[in-house]
Amino acid sequence: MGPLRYRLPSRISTRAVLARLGDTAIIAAEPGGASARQYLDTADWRLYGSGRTLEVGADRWGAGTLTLRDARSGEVQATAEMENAPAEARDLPWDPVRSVIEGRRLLVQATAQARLQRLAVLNPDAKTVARVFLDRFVVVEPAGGRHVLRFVTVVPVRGYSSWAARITAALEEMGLQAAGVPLIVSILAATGRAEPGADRGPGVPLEREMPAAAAVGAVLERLRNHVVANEEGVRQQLDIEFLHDYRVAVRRARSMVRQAGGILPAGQVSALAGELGWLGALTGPPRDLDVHLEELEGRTERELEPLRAYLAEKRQHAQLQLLSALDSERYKLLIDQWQSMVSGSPGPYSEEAPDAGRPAGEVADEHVARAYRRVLKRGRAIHAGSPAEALHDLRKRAKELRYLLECFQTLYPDHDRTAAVKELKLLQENLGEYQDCQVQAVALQTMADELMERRVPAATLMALGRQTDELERREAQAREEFEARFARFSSARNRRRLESLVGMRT
Amino acid sequence: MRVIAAYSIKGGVGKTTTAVNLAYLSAVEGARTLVWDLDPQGAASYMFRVKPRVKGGGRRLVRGRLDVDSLIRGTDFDRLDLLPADLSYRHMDLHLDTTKRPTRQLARVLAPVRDQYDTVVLDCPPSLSLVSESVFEAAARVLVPMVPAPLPARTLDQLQAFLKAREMRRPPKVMAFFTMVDRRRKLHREIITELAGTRPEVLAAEVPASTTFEQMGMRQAPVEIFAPRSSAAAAYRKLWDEIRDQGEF
Ligand SMILES: Nc1ncnc2c1ncn2[C@@H]1O[C@H](COP(=O)(O)OP(=O)(O)O)[C@@H](O)[C@H]1O
Ligand SMILES: [Mg+2]
Repeated sequence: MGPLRYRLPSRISTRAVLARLGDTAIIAAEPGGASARQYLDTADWRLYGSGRTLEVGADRWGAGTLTLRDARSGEVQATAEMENAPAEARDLPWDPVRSVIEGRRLLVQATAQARLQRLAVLNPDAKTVARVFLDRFVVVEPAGGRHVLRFVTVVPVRGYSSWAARITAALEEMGLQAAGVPLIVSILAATGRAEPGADRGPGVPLEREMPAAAAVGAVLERLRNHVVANEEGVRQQLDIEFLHDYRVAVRRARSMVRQAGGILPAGQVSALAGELGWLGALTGPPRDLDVHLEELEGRTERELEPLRAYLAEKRQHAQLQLLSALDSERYKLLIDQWQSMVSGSPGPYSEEAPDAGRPAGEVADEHVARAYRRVLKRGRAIHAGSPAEALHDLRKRAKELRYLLECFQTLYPDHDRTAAVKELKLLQENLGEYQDCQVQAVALQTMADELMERRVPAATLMALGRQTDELERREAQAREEFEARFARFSSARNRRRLESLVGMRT
Repeated sequence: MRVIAAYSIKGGVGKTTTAVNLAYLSAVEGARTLVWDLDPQGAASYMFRVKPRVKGGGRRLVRGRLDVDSLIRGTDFDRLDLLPADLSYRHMDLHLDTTKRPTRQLARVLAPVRDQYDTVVLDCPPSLSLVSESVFEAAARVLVPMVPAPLPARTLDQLQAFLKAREMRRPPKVMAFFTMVDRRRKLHREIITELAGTRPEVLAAEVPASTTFEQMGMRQAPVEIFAPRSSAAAAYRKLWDEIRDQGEF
């Protein structure tokens, strides 16, 4: 039996709880305390995803304590004293936690003022046989709103669980109900925020019967939220995943909009698609540089130093360009335009958007099937002598199909969708490897040319040469593997999986 | 799981006092800690206000017929648990003797909870017997409190000879320290200096004779709880630091 946390509703006073506990057993007060708590996690809630919460508590004197808890039970897993709030994995003393956080920045996800009252339940030998915590949290919104949350937690002492059971029975008789969700979820909910991670990914809840325009609108809204949520991290370069997530959301949105012909008004679609293409293109160079720099991370060869410096300089330059784009009027318009596409439904039927009012499930099926046919057609046309562009083009089509399946994921049963996506994923990996190697090799060549002009040591250029060789080897291997991958993807068996998913022949 | 035994052939030398205070320090540091009260007198159980009784019988526990998991009791302190004593431990030698590998038996009893604890402290009864042998098999460190008395090397010699004769595969490391020391007494100073110079297993930390320790019985708590600023508490902190400084175990 673990700790049991009850929500204390405002109609029941702390005094009433104390009185009730006093009737049930001998109760002794233990030292409690008050602290300001900050809940830290990465932007994508990696700690919470691994079943933990991390809080920084500062008491009245400002001394900081770091507490790692089991998210569900609230049990303390580890504590540490620290002077500064941790910002990244290496600031934490716990290895398993570090490997969960990896390169991501720790952000303050929520703050609360906590006041804790600790009670010991004693048996006739004056031994502590259970503990009761009366916790009060004041959650303050950035806008100034205050929300009070109160909990009663019963913590059993090993070997004396019958005492804890007596206490919980008394509390339940008073009408208290188990909190049911982790504390952090309650704290977020107090300010109207969703469960951590619930709004990650493009998979918004959709119904097959809802109008197609509403479904696409919901997906675009989710993606817009991702873009907005990651913008600050992109600007400040908190870690490289912000830009990555930002970029993925932009590209998903662009793909969605481009395929939304017939669902959304054609005029709006083409305008927004164009602007999203602009934004996507802007995020490309800095992202590529992030990847290059990350590959160099941890490598200590001296000849790589000029390369690192060169890349860092380019990254800095790309950041400035990105920042000026994000500050531009054009960007502001894009975000507004995106918003209006989300909220302004075009009505059930219009000349411009004949599919808007049709059931989302039906329309999604058609789009998925069409995207699938396109992948098949382009893929089949590829032979040993096809130019690289043919594979690049296939990669784009495959991506479109994948984005569709991801964005409309909640329209399909999980199991069927996973099965249908499996071979597609493998094909995408192959095409991705092929193109990435090629693009990187070209980038390296450009770098080598520029570095040559800077008179860097020969060893640096040779290191680049070795990398290029390696990339070319991988590229050739990917090209060789393509045929087999595509054969599996286009096999009758895999086709049937997709056909049964969308309920039509392809 | 590191197992450390507070052990001496003699009674009344401070084994229980040591076990209780060090276990508390281990738990405060963040290690999940278990004290196993092996002394039928149940002094350690008493310190933690736990009834000195093994449900189902200490005899059956020692013989491996009971699940240790359900017998462990939480103490009043975070991360610190106790496996209580039992009157039947008076005959533990006999009970062990009826098992297949008597000297392995105590370690075997602890095996099911090995992932639940970082530190296990054994509070031993005074003797040199089958129980002690089983303790030496289970523990990586044997901590021997010694009062400064004439011929101090004798007990250590006896213990070392005993360990040697057993030809264990992995004998525990013996760590001795002086307790109930009165630095004002010349005899104490001389005994300590002499032994510390000749025996490497003697630790530098020493515990003073202090009435604070006698209060433990009345308070039923480690000294850290009711007299954290006393020299008594400081002495055990120093001892614990020194034990850990000698390497992980
Ligand atoms: N350093 C000390 N100074 C004074 N009295 C002590 C000290 N250590 C232990 N005592 C007391 O000596 C008695 C025996 O100690 P205890 O720890 O029970 O020994 P053991 O477990 O070896 O029999 C107890 O009354 C205890 O309070
Ligand atoms: Mg004792």
